[in-house]
Amino acid sequence: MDTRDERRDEEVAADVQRGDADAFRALVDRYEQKMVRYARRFLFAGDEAKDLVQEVFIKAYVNIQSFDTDRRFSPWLYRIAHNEFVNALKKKKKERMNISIFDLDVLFPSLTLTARETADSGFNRHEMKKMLEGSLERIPEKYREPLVLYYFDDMDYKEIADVLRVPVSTVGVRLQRGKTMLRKLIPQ
Amino acid sequence: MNGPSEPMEYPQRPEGNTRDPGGRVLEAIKERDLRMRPRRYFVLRAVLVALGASLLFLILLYVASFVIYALHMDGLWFAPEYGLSGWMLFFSGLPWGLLLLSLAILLLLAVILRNYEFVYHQPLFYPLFAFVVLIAIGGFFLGTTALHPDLSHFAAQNAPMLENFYEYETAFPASVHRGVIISLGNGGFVIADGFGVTSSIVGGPVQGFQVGDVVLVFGTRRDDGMIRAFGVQRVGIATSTPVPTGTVQ
Repeated sequence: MDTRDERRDEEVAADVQRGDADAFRALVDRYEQKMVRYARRFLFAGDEAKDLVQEVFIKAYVNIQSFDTDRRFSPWLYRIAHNEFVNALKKKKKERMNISIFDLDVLFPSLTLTARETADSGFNRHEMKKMLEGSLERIPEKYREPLVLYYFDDMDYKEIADVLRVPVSTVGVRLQRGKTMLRKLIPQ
Repeated sequence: MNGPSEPMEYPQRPEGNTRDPGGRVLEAIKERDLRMRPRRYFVLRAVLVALGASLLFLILLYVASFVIYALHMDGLWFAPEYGLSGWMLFFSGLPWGLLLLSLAILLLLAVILRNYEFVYHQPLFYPLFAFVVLIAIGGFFLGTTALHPDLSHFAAQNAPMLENFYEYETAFPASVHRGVIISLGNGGFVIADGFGVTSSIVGGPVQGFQVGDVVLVFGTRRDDGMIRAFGVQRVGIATSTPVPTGTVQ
């Protein structure tokens, strides 16, 4: 019986780094579907999602030596996917996306939330997931991505912060703002 | 084995349908169309980023210390002591070009370091603020050492462009006058500059000064050639009193 699948992602990645190219199969098996779903929810891409996911795995393999095995593999792979998807969005829209490190919510996260936004959304996680399924497309990418990572990929704030390379408090601000937008979109 | 010690190449992209994206990638790895970059590539890249960031930091430190040095040299450093007029003179005389250049370098530094946890794990304002404080403190200390006088001296002999830069940035603004007090009178005094050209000073605090004091006078020159001062700062004592050679009319 193959026990490889029971090992942690980081251990598998370490094997790949040591030259065991076959070990990469385990990582592909674990993340392929997640990546395709992430691409579809973030980009609303059809077959293009698979092209992009292929590119993500290529970049992951080519750059695997830059992965620090003392850290979690999942945010590292999602970071590659984030870059790939954002670039795809930029090409698609042919316009500047509002995802800059000099955004106000990256500079001063706590100052940018209004009182209305900090109020509890009143929906539980399951309800939010259901509502998001139908309304994600109408939420701007900047807020859509943390919502996808939080509700569909079950990441915590710290992991999302590592994927987006923004402060943890900025993740909180974007999630809260995304939920507020969602609430406005759903008829009460 | 596809280990890091083997020669590596950047991958050929797998072609064909992407119905199974993972499968295509695995196939490409198996056929050795796809090869990982060696660890030394990432080590080298990290070293280059660190060197680039350090270089930008040093440039910022140099510019900040130069601004402090220039403000001391052209006397503007002391101007805010004399109220609103002093502050206005100070701000109008700041080397805004250098300050804007510093801001651009600071933002570039933030962009270069944005992928490091110590920068992105907190609101960007904090690392930016920390950089500014660090550079201001470092610049202040460097600006009061012999670094810039030595550089200026070196430039005068070896680097004409750098010499021009030092001369231009440290020149006295029109409202700052340096000289040695050669005589005192009621409500004013007379100073002589390095060439012996004299100017009469009226207004401002004239008590407490004596002949031989080297002073900076803040104020505009009137049509009659006299300077109406709103502030006078003693910056030293002359070793010899200059011989007057003429008067500004």
